Amino acid sequence: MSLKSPLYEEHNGLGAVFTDFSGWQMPVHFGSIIKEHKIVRESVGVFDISHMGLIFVSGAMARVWLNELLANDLSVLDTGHSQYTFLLNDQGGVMDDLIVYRLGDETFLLVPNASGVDLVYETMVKQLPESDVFLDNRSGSVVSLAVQGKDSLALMEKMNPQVKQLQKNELFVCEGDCDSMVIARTGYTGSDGFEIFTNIEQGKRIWEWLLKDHGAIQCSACGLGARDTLRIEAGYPLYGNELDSSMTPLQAGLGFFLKPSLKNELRAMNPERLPRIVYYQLLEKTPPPRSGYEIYDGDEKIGVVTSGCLSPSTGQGVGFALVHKEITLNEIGNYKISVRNKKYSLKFTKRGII
Amino acid sequence: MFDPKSLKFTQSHEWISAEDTLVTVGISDHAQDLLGDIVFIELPEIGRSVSAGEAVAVVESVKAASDIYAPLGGTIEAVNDALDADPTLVNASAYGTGWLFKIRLESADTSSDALMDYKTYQSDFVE
Repeated sequence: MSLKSPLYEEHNGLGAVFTDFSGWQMPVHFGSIIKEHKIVRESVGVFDISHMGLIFVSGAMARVWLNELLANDLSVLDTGHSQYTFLLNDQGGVMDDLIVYRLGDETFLLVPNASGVDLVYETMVKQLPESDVFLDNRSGSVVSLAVQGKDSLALMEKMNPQVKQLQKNELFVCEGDCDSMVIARTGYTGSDGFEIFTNIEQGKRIWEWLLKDHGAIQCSACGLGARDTLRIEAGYPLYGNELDSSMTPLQAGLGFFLKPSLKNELRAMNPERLPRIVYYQLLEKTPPPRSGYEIYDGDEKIGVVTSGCLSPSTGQGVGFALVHKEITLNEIGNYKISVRNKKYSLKFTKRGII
Repeated sequence: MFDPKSLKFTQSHEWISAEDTLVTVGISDHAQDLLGDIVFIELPEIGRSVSAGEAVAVVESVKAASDIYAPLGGTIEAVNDALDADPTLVNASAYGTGWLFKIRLESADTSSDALMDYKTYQSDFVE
């Protein structure tokens, strides 16, 4: 049985084309992936991300317990800030990547992937101490929205003037009229943006409000197709493509988000950091690079594409690959991608082209 | 721009228009709508000999790559070079500037069990 967003009827009314994403029927686009991608880069768009998990953790021991459970260093996370982190298995493999929002001294909001929420929640329940930590899994019964793009601040200010005080990765909990709503300056597009987590009724009102006529600023509904090309351009990994339970965050190039002690431990387990996720940019006009295409160093196969697209901003082929051999960044040599038996030159670079 | 009602269609959504032994091939408006934004098109080499049903071109949208099959056998005589710079011509005008390639047949016989008229295509494969 597939799950539907609380905004399913709204999407239908806007002519959305739906796709199955981790068991959810979600809009892949509302007419054009390319147009929606450009809207985010040039003005502002809103994505329904209600499929993402939402788990509240509270209690006197919440911080200490979560810091043991998760891979990043939660001891440095102040109230009103958020942090990218991982749930790891015993081998250091990534069970899921998630964002932790610290809502208060003893209150946290965890946002795992739709595909990972059950595993994350089950793991938490199993390891829950007898007292002083409380879990509240609201996944599937909330509205989560990502308002993303150059004009997102100007639009969000009209909704709540407080947002202009938010720096990147900061958040606040709205009270009063907008009870139980979290607004954070976070996102997955590489452009400025905000994420809103709230109840269904209020979420529907906000969705409608965002899409109405705001004069100089017009916000458009965007689907998961553009969300994918935006995150590829920005160089953000996707669980299932660049991250999975067989690889550590170090192999995914995300060691920055690990506690120093854990980072050292994982480094010692696999000093070569192979196989490894790397970012590539095509050096000539090519078909869209797609997951599964092979990567070569001369005639030797050294890896496989995990994500790719023709950047809607530049037309260049970009994305991630899993390589099982040491590579050199920014070297214009013999690295190639094979598409239907034709080989095209690429270079490996630092992640992201925007 | 061809009038789609004058064209013949395959069940894999190609259309053809025949003028004596020269056949123009494209994809239907329904097919381009299903694919969404087209970002890359790979066309066959001119002079290539193709048989009916052979995969000869690839149309790629953001999400997927789709093979295009030669509706009839013959020799590729022309390809639509404008698609190299702007593949979205297929989205904008599937029956006009978005044509894909032309096949020269050995005879002017375009009869084939694999081809149907517009009305049949619409009722069996679109609606």
